[in-house]
Amino acid sequence: MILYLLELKNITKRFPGNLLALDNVNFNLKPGEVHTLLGENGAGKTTLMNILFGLYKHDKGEILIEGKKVNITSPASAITHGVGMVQQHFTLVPSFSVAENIILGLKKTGRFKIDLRNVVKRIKELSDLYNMNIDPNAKVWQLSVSEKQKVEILKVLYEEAKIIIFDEPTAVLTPQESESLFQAIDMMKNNGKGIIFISHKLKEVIRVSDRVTVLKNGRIVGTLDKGNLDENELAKMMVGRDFLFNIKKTPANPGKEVLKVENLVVKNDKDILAVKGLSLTIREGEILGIAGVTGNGQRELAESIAGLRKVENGKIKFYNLDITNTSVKRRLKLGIAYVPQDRKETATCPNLSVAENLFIRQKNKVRILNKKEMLRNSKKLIKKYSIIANNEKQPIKFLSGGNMQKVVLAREFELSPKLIIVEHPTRGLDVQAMEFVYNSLIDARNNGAAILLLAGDLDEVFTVSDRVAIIFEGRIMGYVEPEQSKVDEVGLMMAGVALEA
Amino acid sequence: METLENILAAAIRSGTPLLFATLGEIITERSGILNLGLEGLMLIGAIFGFIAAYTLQNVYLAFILAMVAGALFSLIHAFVTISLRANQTVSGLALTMLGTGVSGMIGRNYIGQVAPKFSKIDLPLLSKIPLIGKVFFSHDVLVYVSYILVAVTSYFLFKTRLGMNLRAVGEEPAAADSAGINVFLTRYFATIIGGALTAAGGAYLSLAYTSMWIENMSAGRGWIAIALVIFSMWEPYKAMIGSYLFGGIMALQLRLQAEGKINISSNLLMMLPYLTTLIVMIVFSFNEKFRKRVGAPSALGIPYSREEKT
Amino acid sequence: MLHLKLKIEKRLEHFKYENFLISVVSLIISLVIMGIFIWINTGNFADVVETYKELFTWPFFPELGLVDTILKMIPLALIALGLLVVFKMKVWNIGAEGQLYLGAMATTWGALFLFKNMSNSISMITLLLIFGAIAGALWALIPAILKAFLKLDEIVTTLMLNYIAVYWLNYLIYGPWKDPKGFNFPLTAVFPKNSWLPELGDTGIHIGIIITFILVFVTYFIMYKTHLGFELKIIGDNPKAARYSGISIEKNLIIAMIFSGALAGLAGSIQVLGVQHRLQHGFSTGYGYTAIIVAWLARLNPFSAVIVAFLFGGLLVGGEQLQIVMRFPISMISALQGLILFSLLASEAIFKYRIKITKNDPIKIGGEFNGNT
Repeated sequence: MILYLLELKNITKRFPGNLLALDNVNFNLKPGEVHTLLGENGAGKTTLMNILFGLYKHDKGEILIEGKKVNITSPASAITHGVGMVQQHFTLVPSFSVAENIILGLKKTGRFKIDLRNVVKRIKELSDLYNMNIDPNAKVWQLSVSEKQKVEILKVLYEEAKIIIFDEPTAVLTPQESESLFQAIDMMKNNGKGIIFISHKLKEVIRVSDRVTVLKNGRIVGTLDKGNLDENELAKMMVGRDFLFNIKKTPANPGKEVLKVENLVVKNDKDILAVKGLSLTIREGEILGIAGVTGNGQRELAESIAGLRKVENGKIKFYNLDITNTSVKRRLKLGIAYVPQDRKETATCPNLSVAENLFIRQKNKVRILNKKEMLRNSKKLIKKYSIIANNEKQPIKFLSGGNMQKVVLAREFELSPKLIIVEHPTRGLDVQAMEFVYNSLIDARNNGAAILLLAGDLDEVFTVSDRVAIIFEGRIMGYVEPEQSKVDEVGLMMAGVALEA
Repeated sequence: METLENILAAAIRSGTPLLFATLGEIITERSGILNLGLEGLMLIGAIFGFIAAYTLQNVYLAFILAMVAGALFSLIHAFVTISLRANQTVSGLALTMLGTGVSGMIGRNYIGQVAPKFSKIDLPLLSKIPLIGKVFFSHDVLVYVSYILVAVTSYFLFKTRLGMNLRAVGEEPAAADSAGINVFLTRYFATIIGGALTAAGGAYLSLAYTSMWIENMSAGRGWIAIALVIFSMWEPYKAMIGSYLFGGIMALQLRLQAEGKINISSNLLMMLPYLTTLIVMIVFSFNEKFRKRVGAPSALGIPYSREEKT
Repeated sequence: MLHLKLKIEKRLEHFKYENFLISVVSLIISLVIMGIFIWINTGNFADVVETYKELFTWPFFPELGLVDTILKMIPLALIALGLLVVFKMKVWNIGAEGQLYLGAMATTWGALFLFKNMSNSISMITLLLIFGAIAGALWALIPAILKAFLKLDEIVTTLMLNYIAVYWLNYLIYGPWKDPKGFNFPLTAVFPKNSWLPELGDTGIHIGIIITFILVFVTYFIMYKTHLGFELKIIGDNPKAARYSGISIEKNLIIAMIFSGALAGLAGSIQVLGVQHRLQHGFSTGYGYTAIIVAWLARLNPFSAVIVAFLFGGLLVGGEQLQIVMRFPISMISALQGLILFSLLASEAIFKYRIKITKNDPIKIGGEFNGNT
């Protein structure tokens, strides 16, 4: 009788720059249990799992599976040892079918020629067993986000993994979709699988876990059993202080109408309609939060208001001035700031210095550069926004995620904008950085700016917004007050259920 | 009738080196590696094939040795772009310069020499079919090899496990990696095979198309092959059509020059293949499928690194 | 016990003189490899010594090849200056050779036909130089427009245009422009004296060198002091961020290509007006291609470009000398250039990492890092 399916002993991992990501971490997993790794962003959860899955190499420590020491050097060897991982960012090939994706890299389905018939049959069986309703022959790019996640899960099940890792799986789901995921997880547990669940959301952790281990700054804080799980206690362990944000939010005092979007129609990168006749307005001194599952047109909405995406139909008005399809330059001049969701891909130039990155978006362009003034200004901003960098000439790619985000925020706020569009402003940030971002947004609001906040996380929307709009398939489903009691209502609208007013 | 037959047959012959190189580059690019060194690799294939044939007096062995040389030279590109993650464009240009230079250096003593060449073999029965027989089945053995190679490449890419892995690596290396596929090994494999096939195209020039070595004898075919990969939307069968079309233009140009019936300077005629490439690119760009680069591997030209993928 | 551990890790900062070191290291590596190659080829180590002695002395001594080196430096530097502007925005203009040809052809047309009777030398030369620059710019404008509006890959289009330019020039000098008194050689008649670039004293060096130096400063100013240069830098680093910043990639692409083509065209013009005084077969020994390496080895810095161009001018002159003295083929230079480019890429990559020897010492804990993004 083997007690533990998996044991991780004294795992230590250092990243370049001598950052200690994991410090002597011990972790174990029994068959038929859900053991949660809880911790805030940057605590080392994903790093630990990437080591178990063979994506990273640990510097010290050992991994035991069913009591035997194993050497996991790659995802391939992890899979051979019965470890499967449902990753946070999907690792699927969009142009391949579901079945092709599932057998990708698996050797048992024929070494040379591919024969998909049996594969398709087996996928159907698994899909039925766990109530997933996935067509094995569909191409992955046609699937919705939650369906893609199901494909990831089916892949792991198809591999007959004994240990299944779920890395923040609910980040992309509606509350209702999350619940059906939890039911599937319960079933896997009952079938004797060991589940490692990674999250920083306390409610769902309590819902799904048999045991919870809390990780902070790369170290284990402690482990609690199902009977002792308590939201406050977990929060304290996770953050190291009381979980409440220190946010100075006063009631909104909305003024003139700043942004008016009328029947907006916008296409996505694949030329498919993403925003379908959406209308909304925001006033001075007001934060409008948009709640919704990723991929329901939020990005396209934000980009079309910022001037980065063509509007097919409808109007965008700024203080009653029609700015539909005008240039980014013009919108910068008018005072429209934009914090895109991917700070590395869109919002910054990785090899340019902090100073240069603070300077790339300007209201008024000068033909001849004044480098001295640029450097002087940057020094000021670095201080004002407490950005941690060696100096203003350091390439921005060497900054941490939180500091990079501060650079982006500093640049956009310094435009003294009348309208700020913010997408996922706290993704990957720790609690202090989150607090900073929220307070900056509220300050800007108090100074009279209109803010459009697009967040994936309901907590975020509820913390900061004055009004919450729910988006589904490119339309606004309805509005609610940002009160915790409205979560179920919001969840239903996020899934496309229209509610009676 | 006979003229048409001759021109079409010549189109196949002069399209064959393009076909070898295009197939090679399709395999390489499908794995996500852009190899712009085709021109240099063709010259390497041509000179090594020629020297081997001249010394060993065996064209078959020479052809294989040319491919080995191509594989070894493309290994440099593989190392620099896959292991060191250097810029693929610049590395490809470097490979072209190196190939041009090295082939010129070692080929200096072979200018004006004649080596054995692949002889024409009429395929029994098939070559007797009117028109088609003369056009397709009355060639040297390498042409037949190239026919088979098209089918094999297509089958390999779309029907075998290794081919599927290779395409996955070119589309989503991170996905392939976490599915347990060795991204680096797959890309090395594709680059080396691609290099060998490109060199085979070059060897065709010195072992079958002619039987001599001329400096820079590939004359831009490597670059045209890179354009052909785009025209063919990364599909082997379409590459065949494209290669023969361009082969046809080259053959026609040579024929017009040789006949001297038309009063156009040979220098202007020699522009034809390059001008055609440009014009075809422009015309194609009005086609939506082409403009959106349907078939282009999404990770083409992007180095992969596991630790940096976050 | 003291544990020593060898670790290779990514550098988190650039260090001083990094660019300089990368270039020097790669030059040394490629010379060593080339030396080994020569050694194997000739089987005589003395040959290697002799080769490099020749290569490093002949081109750089006044009574030997120095003037030649400087004359070759001029087109290399001019073209490289143009290239580094487009390379900065990661547009691969491989068509400088063709643009150079067009410049030379346009200048020849002007000198032999359009303005052949012009009496004022200064205005004639100015006109011809502008003519050459415009022709080069127009030739570069074709791939620029094709890329900006039809998204066509500039590498293939510029190369095709190179081949077309070469055959066009050949057509002209073998055909309509052939000098009737030229004993059937592929060359045009000599240009009128009025169009020849004046020499600096009796040095044998024409005033093209002054034009080159002026353009070094112009290029430097554009790249480092203007918003245009800053925009090119942003586009080169992250095109998405450029769009997000309201920068038109298409507009900058066209401006940069025109600049690059104009400089290459100017180089062609200067070459025929200052050196050959006629258009002839093989008037360029692949300057357009060599300049690509010059720009890269100079790490896209205009001042370094002049120095590297001087070294490469020397390399070309040395190569010609070796052809005579050691009977080496001229293609050796092309091979060496390929080697240099490869070594440059390799050392660039290697300099991104550092080898660290760590002892078992306490290490700072925690800190903010980004494990979950």
